[in-house]
Amino acid sequence: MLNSFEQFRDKVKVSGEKKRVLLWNADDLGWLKVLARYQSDGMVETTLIGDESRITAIADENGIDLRAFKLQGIASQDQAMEIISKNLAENTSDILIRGTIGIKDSLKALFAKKVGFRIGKAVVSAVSCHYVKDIDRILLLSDPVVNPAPDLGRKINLVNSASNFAHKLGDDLPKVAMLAAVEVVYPVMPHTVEAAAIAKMSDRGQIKGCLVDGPLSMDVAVIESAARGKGVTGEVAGKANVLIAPNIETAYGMLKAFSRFVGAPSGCLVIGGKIPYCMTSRADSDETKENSLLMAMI
Amino acid sequence: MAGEIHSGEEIISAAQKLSSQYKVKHVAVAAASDVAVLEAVSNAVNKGICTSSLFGHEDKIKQMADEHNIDLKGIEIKRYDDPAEAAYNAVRMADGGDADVIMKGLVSTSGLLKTVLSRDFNLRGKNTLSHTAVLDIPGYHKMLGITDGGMVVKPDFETKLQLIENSSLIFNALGFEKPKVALSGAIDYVDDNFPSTLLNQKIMDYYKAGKIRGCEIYGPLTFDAATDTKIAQMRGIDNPVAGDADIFVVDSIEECNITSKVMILFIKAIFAGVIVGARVPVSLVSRTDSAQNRMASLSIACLVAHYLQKSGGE
Repeated sequence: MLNSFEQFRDKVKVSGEKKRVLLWNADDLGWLKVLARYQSDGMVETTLIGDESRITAIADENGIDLRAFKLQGIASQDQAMEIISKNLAENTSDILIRGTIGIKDSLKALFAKKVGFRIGKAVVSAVSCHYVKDIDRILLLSDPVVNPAPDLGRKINLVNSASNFAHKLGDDLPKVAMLAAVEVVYPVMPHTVEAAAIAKMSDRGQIKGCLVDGPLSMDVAVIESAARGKGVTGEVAGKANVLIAPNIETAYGMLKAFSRFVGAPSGCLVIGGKIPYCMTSRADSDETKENSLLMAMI
Repeated sequence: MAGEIHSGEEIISAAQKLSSQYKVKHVAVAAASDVAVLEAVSNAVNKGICTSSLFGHEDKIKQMADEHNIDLKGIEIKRYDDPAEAAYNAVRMADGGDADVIMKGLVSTSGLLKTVLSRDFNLRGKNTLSHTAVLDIPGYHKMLGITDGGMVVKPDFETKLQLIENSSLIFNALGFEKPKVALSGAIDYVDDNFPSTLLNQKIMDYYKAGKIRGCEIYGPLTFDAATDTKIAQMRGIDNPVAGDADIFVVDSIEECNITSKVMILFIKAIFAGVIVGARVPVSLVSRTDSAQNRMASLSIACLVAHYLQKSGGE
């Protein structure tokens, strides 16, 4: 399995494929900088959607050469949506990136049926990716952005989506931990019951392409000595590389704890739509933006 | 106590100072035959943070202390071979006023807390019992209390108000007059699809109506907006709590427990945990806590005990 964002980049470079990228509301300096670099390395072909004069002003002020970019000026968000849905319908884009459009507005607009981002009833979810130095591995985490309170069915979707992403990183059988506050089943904690149900489904081969265990607390999930210390056996405990959080608040808190306080190189991607959608926050570093782009390119 | 406490080290030194200035706090340990607990108590007693009585199986306690080189000098052992009986008598000592802190040993948390709340004693407070972890996170400019990752599974409106009150009390004990409380969300605005934001809106309405005093509250706030002024500003949030939170009141036991563990495991955030809501604080440490974290937990319980006695006496 690829084990760092550097390895993501190497793999993307070696493939030599040029990805067609749409930057939505492109008056976003961080993304313009990242994309200009990838553009000149021949790794992407970018279309900028947004307020033309603002985009050119930002590029001019910061010495970014826009000649290699395609620029599509818009006067309203409706026009932006027209461009995005046209690209989706004609298969002329590979990756969509969120620029300065608000998270709430962007998801609402994108999920509208006529836009063609959703494929039938397929579940759209977010997966974030963190390289954690202490344990020298990449952790995938779902869902910090899209699904507020996943029920049992939705959690199974999250397991499958995150596992599929792990497959793309070269791990054929990711180890998935259903996170909880404890590693035992307590009826008063419904998440532990759901976690156990999903683990059982995995044991019986009802969920394929990964090994799932749960409920597992955070330390028992990722730290081998903690798993041993608490006597939790199995192939996942201590070795998990995919973490499914019980709810969005937990996942979002973890995402920010990893990226801001632990300082783990991080990225975040919305998957399950027609094309991957990079949904970083405006406050994220250029590095996080680049990492998210690499996740999308893989 | 003058000034606010801003680090894990300061919690420990403040508890030491307090013990030298006032009557030293006494810790009653319920079923003490637990190595992690014995070590924590022995260290804290040696540092002058507290004195202690160990309720439990005397032979086992002595044998453990011998095996692990734990110094029990000056610590009283009260012989009760049955753990439940040991816990009952430790709680009784606190009820009688001869102990200021109850510490959990080799009994279940729920069993011990049931004893604390038992009608046999007069230790119940008006609030539910809740756990607050106070974290000293490298990279954050102050300490952050986070609640509840140990007891309350999914707070409703009433319970959340009590979590706010209980955790504020801990920060009062740490010298903060009006702690800044952030109500957690996965987003920084109220949205029908995010049930926790609706609950937080109700609490904000209640707060704005002047019904919660003694702290400043704002929410929903994401973890990053609660702890980083720049991010809060970038998202157009103009509130003194944003970016400068003392306390993060979360929406589920999972959110609190898992988010704090990320920081405890991977950046060695110092952690001090305590249960409040009863007339005396309850301290629990675990085998997996570092020696420093166990000391900080006992220290914070002593600070809370001191504060409760001081404010109760006024």
